[in-house]
Amino acid sequence: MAKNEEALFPLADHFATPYQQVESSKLGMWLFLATEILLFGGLFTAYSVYAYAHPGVFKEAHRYLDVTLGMTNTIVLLFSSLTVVLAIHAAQKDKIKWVVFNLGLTIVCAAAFLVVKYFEYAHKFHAGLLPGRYFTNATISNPDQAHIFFGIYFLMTGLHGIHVVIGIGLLTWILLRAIKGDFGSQYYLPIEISGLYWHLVDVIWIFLFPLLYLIR
Amino acid sequence: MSFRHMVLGPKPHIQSVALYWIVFFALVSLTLLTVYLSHYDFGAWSVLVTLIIAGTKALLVMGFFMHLFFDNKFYALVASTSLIFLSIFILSSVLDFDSRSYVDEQDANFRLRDEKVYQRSLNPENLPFRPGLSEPDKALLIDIGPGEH
Repeated sequence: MAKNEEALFPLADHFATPYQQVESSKLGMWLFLATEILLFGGLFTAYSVYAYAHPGVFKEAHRYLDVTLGMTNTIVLLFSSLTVVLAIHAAQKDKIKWVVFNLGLTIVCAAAFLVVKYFEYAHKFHAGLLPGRYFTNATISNPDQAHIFFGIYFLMTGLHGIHVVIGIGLLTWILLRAIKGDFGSQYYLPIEISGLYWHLVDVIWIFLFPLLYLIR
Repeated sequence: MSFRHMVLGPKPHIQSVALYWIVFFALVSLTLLTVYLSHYDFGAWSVLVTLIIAGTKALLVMGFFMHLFFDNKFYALVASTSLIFLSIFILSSVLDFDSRSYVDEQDANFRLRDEKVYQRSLNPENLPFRPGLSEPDKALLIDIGPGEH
């Protein structure tokens, strides 16, 4: 390691010290994550109110979701969260090859999540389990209200899916920077910040999975 | 406080890889547990059981993976503030809906009818018992008094 390790630390002009840079970046990210929680919060509130108003509809409609696929996706996302922290850990230990490996694994898991989601959506499109007036499924016992469940299902998983896509873009950018050699044990802040975003996507899915797939 | 400490801050607490793997396996076990428990009916408690397990998982991810347990506690304050206000939002909305049935009887009937349709749907013989989207099933309509329709 070079003697003047402070000089190796990329420091933006508007920060006095690297420490201040780390602390304010993380605080900024947590504030953003708080607004993300509130963004999804509106949908969770809609879910709660409709689940309260139509208990039977929710109990019946959720049987049309595939629990096995949902569980697979949960475990895939949990594993991708693990690989993100392992990437940060590798950066702290200056093992850049492991950073690249773990970030790559995270992106693969995120893509796998979207592939499973595609099959789930395709099944629902074919079965006519769609929101509002596009709902054409005839096997459900309460079609006048059942579309509400699928409206909420598509909104919540759709918004979550958009976040997964954004996460893939973000992690790909971080991966390319890691390959370029931008990170080391002195500077891995961007990996941490993108990691925080990715974990939040995971946390939201942790609530979506049981509420949509497992209610009774 | 040394100059180095002022500039670079306290040395980051580097957690062991084993800890992360333990947390991961705990998360997977909790996922399997919640799927397993979904086969049993706890009635009104099932939502609570589900939310407790999901909350534990979220706490594990936020605490260990997002480093809330190890980092500056101010981040934890920011995160929990948003969660507290979100729960106020959800709770007041549901309480509002819950209390409407005291004012408007029709609202309570809505839930009752819903439950009734669901109970009928549990018997496969009844499915599909409304092939079209029109034509309401008379047997499922609950009498809500004169002049209310």
